[in-house]
Amino acid sequence: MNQKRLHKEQLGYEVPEGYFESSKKEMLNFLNEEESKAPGFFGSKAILTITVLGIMAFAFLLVQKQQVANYEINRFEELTIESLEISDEAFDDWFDEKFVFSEF
Amino acid sequence: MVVKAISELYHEMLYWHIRKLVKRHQDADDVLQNTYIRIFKGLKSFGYRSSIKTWCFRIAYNESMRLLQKQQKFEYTNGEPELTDHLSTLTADPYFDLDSVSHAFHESLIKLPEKQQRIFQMKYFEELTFDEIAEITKWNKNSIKTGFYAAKEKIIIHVKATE
Repeated sequence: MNQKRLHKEQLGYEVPEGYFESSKKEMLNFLNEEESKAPGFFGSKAILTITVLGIMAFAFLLVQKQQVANYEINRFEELTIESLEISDEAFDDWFDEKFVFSEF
Repeated sequence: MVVKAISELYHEMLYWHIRKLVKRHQDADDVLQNTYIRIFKGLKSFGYRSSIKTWCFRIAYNESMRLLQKQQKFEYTNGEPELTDHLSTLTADPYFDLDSVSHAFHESLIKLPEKQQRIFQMKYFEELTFDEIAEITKWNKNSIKTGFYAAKEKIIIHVKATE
């Protein structure tokens, strides 16, 4: 027996006229739209590339920052050692030259 | 597109499977839509552990159960337990025709416990095998068999008594 008829006669269930055809069409259209919205292979590849580039840029900046910090530490050490050889009379001039004027 | 092939084969069957569980047409329509979305999203991870038909029916069954649980929670919090009554749910639906129903059969069916009702409907209307019902509902196969024969017996007795 036809499913529609069986359900109507034995359970009293009815459906609107043309429901199955229209709902199927509606659903497939909706899923087609969803599929076109979802990132495909190239979309995923682009996301992956952007992520990798982002990580690389972050790592580069981190290394740069570390190098600047290292340079400052080394320079401080050099100057401290150098200062040991400066006499007390010449210290003020040396300090101005190395620390005050070097800032400009 | 696989979903298109699924819809060609099972669209109507899935609707009726859901309709018998949730009763109202509007609810069945909503659940059917959610079922398709789940099928669409889940296809990539479908592992062929069961047939695609059983898998789709299982999704439809789970979606129906989700809706029923949500409705029960809503009715409970709003103090409207009478809405859970099978017949009042049906008569509230504009797509339910009480006059065309075989009264004795219908009456005996709605008097069955919920689990027996589901088993009987899946077996009788959808002609699913006991294995398929077990796979869909995750119930024990033997208890499904027992449930079905008990339901069948009760329906026969009720229909004969009202004749």
